[in-house]
Amino acid sequence: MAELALSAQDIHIRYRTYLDPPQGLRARLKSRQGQRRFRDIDAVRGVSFDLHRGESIGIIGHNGAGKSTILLGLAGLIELRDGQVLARSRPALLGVGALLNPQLSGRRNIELGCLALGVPRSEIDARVEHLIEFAGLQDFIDVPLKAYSSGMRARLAFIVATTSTPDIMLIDEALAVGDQEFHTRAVARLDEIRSEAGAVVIVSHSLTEVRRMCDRALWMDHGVVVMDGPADEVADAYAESSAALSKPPATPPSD
Amino acid sequence: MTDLPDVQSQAAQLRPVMARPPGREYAAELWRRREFITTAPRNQLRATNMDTVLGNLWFLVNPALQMIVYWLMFGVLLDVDRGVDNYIGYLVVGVLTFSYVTGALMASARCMDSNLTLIRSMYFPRAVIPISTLLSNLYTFVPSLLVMIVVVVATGELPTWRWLLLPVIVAGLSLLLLGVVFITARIGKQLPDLHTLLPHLTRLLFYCSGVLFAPAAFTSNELALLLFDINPFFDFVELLRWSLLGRPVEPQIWIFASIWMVALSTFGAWFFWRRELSYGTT
Repeated sequence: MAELALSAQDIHIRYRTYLDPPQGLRARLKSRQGQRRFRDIDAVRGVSFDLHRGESIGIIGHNGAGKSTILLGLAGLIELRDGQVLARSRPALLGVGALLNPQLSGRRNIELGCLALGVPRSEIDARVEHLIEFAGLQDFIDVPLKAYSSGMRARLAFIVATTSTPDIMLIDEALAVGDQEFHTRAVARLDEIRSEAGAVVIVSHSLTEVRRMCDRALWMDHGVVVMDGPADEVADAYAESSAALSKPPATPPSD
Repeated sequence: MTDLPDVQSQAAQLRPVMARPPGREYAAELWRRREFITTAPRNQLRATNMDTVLGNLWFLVNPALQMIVYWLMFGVLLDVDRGVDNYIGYLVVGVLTFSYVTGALMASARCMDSNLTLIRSMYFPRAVIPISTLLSNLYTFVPSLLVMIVVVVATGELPTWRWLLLPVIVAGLSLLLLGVVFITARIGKQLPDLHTLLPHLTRLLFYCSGVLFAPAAFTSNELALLLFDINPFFDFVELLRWSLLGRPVEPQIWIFASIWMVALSTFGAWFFWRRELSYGTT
């Protein structure tokens, strides 16, 4: 078996959020719950899996299943309540929200993003033009980011995250917003990363994408992994359960 | 599971993703981001005035206007020089220096939250954020220093060798301020209420730092004057006045200023670093 790239060991992530109940001060005093103004949400409740070099894992599940949160945990960007994540090197996270400053141009954002990651200036200068061309952003590269479409932002984020080829790449829905042409190129780049013995974890709602790009899939629900296996099998099971849920309940078969 | 020992030996080669690097390694990681630390605030500042008519000229006009308001109020209307030579010069150094202090402190309380998107999208030593927050304020302080020099020269002061020490004193003040910014950045993350509390604290500090009046002109109480001397912000304002206006300072001002500078910057860095892993939480 291939070498381990990352190992998630019984990780738990909790975050605290504020409650904003639709009631006035008087009602709050009456219900004597005036003090309980926040609620702890256990987004990830004990997830373990191993990721090997050259492997690609898809994470699927309903909204709120803890998919994005677990990526933050794997990337070491959010504190774990329990358990630990071990890795060969620090994973790079690629998400749609990852933009720096909407006022600044795409080029400055790429520069800043790479500098924040600690990529040396010489490497940025050597690669940035090529990457801009790769992402097809030449015409918009000096325009402020706020004028970008969501697909163009995703392309930019992709550039930042892949400038220095990461060992482990975590992708949060970032490919979904790009158009077909960029999608093809991005997939090719990810395959390249994997062939350089890297590993990829993809959170996606597109089962087609997961089937095509992943060897293995985890199905998450309410913060736990309910199924872990070959991508096709897990995607089939998930599709079946979703279909069962979305079937209109009030129309029994008439025959 | 015959390959279990093998898996374990492999796992031994892996390192925890979520680990706070020891001090020396942390400093090296920070050093690798030195260009980000200096570039990010410059870009931020460039963006702030992009859509205004005056553009970057505002960085000069703003301190000048601020100065004019204080001068009209305290120099012309109230005429409160109280025996201070060159009161206008005294006022400009106090007001503009303190404006740097207030700006940095106010920005620091929210800096971890306003950069949460960045913090949650990639790893870098989190101390990058308070340092760039301070630098951003230092950059806007540079035009203020120009205004100070213009006013000081216009009111009849001539450059002396003491002016050469101006950069050293500004660096010292910035280091002191960085220590405080580290502390307020961490506290502001854990307790957002600090942001509302801070204007009151900085105003208290303002009155305790001899910005508008020389405390010695108002009291001869030894203890009160000692309290002013112990306040490092008062000390640095006095040192800047010593440099630009030639006002005499007692040796203890230098000593208090240096002790606070070393103590607060060291403690602040440690205090911030202790919670390194927590800054990504909402």
